[in-house]
Amino acid sequence: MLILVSGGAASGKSEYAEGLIVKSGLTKRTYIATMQIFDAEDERRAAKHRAMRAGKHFVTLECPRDLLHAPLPKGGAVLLECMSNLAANEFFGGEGREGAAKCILSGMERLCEEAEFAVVVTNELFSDGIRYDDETEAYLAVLAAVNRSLAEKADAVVEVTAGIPVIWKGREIL
Amino acid sequence: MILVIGGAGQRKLDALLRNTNYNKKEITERLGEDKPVLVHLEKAVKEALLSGMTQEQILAELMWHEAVICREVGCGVVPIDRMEREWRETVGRICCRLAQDADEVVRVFAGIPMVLKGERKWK
Repeated sequence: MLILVSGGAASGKSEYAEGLIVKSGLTKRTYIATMQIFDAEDERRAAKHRAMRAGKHFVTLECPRDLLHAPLPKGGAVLLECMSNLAANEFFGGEGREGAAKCILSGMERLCEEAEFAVVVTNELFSDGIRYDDETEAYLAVLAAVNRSLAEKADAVVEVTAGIPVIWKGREIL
Repeated sequence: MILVIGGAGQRKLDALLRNTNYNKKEITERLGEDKPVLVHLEKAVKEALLSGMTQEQILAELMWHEAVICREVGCGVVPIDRMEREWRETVGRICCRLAQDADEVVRVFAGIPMVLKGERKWK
């Protein structure tokens, strides 16, 4: 089972995604953290997310890149957050422009094989009407392609806005 | 409270006026002014942050309004400017909090209201 959760900044998507994991009833819960911490602001952001997860009994697995070879758990519920960070880390570091999408999708394939219930949080970066430099535009194209592939594969796709889910696919399983 | 959200130029205010009894004289852009409808919450948040208000203080002022309209501003690349990031984040969090307490939450897309919370049928 794969559920894709998307939304803009501070839309309440993380909280909704965590709720899905709790609702799954599975008690083996892994949180795959993809954000690299560079400064105090990143650290505050990570701390905020940790506080939100506290009490929900997640084991955290740091995976800023190379999901395919990460020590993924067998079975249980897995929450990956956030695809926009993983994509940025692969695109600007790791696999570079060409390989990023493919590398992420093969990692995701493996994650879906191993996990019983997977929720992926991604990010809506596509509606600010700004034309960025070529490299940023290429990154956005990679993330959009990954989102589309995952949405196609997913059993449910949910966009969260103001903390409220807007269901694009799979209403019956949510 | 009624919360109306949506992108720029989607006719959020029209949708509110069409579906409620508020009139144009009851609208303000100023946070906490004695008028039931606050439009452009996203602008009010920016001014409030610049004047040193916190998220909680902004929320307290918002309780005076019966309907709040806010542009969705979170669906873009993370801004380089720290203040812009904080603004985007605060607008998003405030909308989550307002939506939690609101009786009605409506998102307007190309002029069409989608009811996210509440019983009323919006047209």
